[in-house]
Amino acid sequence: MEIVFQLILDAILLSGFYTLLSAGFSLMWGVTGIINLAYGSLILTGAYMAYALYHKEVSLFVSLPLVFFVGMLLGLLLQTLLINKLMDYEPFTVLVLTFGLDIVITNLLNLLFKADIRSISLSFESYSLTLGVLLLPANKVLVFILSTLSVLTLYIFLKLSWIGRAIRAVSMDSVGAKLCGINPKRVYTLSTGVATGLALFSGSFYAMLQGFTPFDSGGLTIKAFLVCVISGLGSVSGLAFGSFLLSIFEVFSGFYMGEEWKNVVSLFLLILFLAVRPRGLFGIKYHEKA
Amino acid sequence: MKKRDLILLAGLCLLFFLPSLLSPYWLRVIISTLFLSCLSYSHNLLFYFLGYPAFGGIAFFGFGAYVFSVLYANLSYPFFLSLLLGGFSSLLLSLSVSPAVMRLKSHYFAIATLALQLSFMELAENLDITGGTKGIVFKLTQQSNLISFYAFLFILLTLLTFTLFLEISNFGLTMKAIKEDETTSLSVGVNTMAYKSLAFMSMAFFLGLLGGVFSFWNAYVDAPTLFDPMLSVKTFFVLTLSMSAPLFGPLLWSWIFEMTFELLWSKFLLLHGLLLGLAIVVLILLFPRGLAWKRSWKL
Amino acid sequence: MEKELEVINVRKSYGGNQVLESVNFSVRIGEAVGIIGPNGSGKTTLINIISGITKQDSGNIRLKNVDISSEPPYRRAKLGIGRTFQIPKPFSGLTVWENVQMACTHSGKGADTEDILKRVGLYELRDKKGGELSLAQRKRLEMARAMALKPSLLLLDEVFAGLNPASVKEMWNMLRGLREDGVSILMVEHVLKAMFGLVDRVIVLHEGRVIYDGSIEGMLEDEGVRRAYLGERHPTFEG
Repeated sequence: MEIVFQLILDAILLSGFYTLLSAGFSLMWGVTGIINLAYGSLILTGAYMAYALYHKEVSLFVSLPLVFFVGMLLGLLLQTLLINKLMDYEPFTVLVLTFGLDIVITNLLNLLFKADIRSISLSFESYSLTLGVLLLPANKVLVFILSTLSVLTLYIFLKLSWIGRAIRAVSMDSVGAKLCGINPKRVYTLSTGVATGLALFSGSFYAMLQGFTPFDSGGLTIKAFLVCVISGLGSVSGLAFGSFLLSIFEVFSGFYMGEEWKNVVSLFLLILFLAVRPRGLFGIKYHEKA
Repeated sequence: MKKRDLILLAGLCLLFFLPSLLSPYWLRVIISTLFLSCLSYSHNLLFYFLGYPAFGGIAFFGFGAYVFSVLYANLSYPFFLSLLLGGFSSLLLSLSVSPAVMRLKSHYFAIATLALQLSFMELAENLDITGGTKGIVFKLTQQSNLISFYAFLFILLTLLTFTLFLEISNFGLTMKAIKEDETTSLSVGVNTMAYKSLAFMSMAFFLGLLGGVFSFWNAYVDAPTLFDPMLSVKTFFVLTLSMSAPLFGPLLWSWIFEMTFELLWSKFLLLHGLLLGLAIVVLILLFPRGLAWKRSWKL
Repeated sequence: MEKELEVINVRKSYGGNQVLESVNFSVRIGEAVGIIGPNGSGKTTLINIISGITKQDSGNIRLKNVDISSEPPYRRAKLGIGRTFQIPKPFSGLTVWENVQMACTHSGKGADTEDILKRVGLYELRDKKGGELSLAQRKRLEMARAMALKPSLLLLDEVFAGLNPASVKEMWNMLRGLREDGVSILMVEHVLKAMFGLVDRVIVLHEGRVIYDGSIEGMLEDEGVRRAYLGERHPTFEG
């Protein structure tokens, strides 16, 4: 019986990371209507960056914000230089663009870092907290706490700041927002910036949790997509729930059926959800372009 | 018009006798061209006519390939029977997921097929029947290049005829109408779901067939070969360029692609993927509506 | 007289917003009925529900005494419900000819593309793309496409809106012609004037309910309708 509690605990810890991972994807999708197929490779970019910084012995307090801001810069460039050029054409042109970008980034990472499995092992990795019979690995706890804090920060930023309000306004009604003097293109740029920042940022956590190669991107994109499909766009608590559901499925199938099956299970979960509830459990209106 | 048709016909006849004129090396290059153009035409049934990009359409290719390989290599079924069964099992697979995925808009659809591709790949690596990570090895015969050539050629001609039929028939017209506006199509009496499912199923059928021929040609299959994302990348590279020329675009661009690849890119094997990705990004930015074609070239 | 269309207790809400609250009315065979009401009174939703594009929360739609509430929209089109859209939506990549031909093929009723195009006056423009037409031409193309279904009931969503007086007249004549052929018409309209001499009856929709059902003349006198519009200088009464 203890093992079930242990697995649930593992799932909760993992779900914090998945919430952060899918937050950027959800933000970009909700505001700009773009499904970013390059999202997974952006996460990996963050993972490799964190990996490189870690081996240069840069402290986490410096490297984490640095990764975020580099990601944000990358996102701003991405939107202004590439995506904005296609916003007026058929939506699938942007889809093709992000598809191409994913290949470019994956191959660049492969050239720079080779296909070997990398990971970051933190100095305190071997420590584990115990809670009665339950085991709490230090790296997972750290990632959970930092992820949750970051998601909360994002939530407060979207809720309270002027920029956050503009972003939410555009996601609800871009014409109405225009009438209030908000420039949608600027908001698109900004939200892609924040979203990409979040992607890279969550990548550094990914590196702390498990080994990675440049070719994990497809699976990561689909995870972010799955969480958004489960929860629907536009609510942070929805994302948290979606992430929890995904983690539960992964952790349990990984334990009872074997590690190699957990992705298969979550992918079938995705197909099931697309078939039964494509609008998600908490389905708030999808952006019209989606 | 007349003269061009004659040239075309002559070209096709030439293609037919090509194997006896070429060295084995060039025969392989030609076969890759045929293979790539077949992949492109199959995906285009859904992409050009309905606007659904099946980025993970390779799922059906791999599925058909495994069915063929198990039947032909492990159970010693006859070649053509295994091939057909491979095609039909892909068709059945698409039929079973069609009610779910064809209801989706194109974005969701694209990613749903990607999910299908990834989950099949993992399944294939974990099942016994697919040979797990060891894959399935075929007995290589002298004729395998030749048979593959004619099989690919035959599929290519069928796909071309099918595409031509869609370009000039009411069936294709209806598909284009659905692509533009599904609600309006419904209100003029079109059973849009039926059309979308048919298109999806024909794509899956052709991909399944291609999977079989490819396995035979390659004489070895495993999950990374059959569900190789590069196959989709190449396909959509070709299709991006052919967006306004559904009939001969894919053939032409597959040809150009494979030639460049053989002559130049094989020297930069490491950069290959990167260059392809860059090419897709640059092309879609430069030609968001596909390369401009003269109207008279279209048919 | 026998009923062409019956709308029975139809309700629809979006989120918490009740758009239609138990709407009841019917259209007799060969009759033309106009629906008016302020913006947001649920007119377009009603048309969408009858044509099957939108699903009602509860209630029934009957066509010639047959319940079609659960039929998909394409089946309703084949059963004889033709419609136009508020913002005309021709297939812009298809030619005028192809637009109409497609509808002819799918209705399965053997309508002739050439006939219809001549009738709506688009025959000369048959090779133009749908996207290249002016608003008035688009509206005519939508009419043509609806006519290709050989409908027994035509649903028109603001066909007169945005047209200049000459085009209004043309459209008016076209609709008169259809009425003479025995087609039943249900039209949502802002331009009240255009409906004079065209419809037999008006239905006033207000906040998702039918508040009046009768002749145009009677409507102008009706106390309930006045109250609903009180203080609102609504274009309905000026157009």
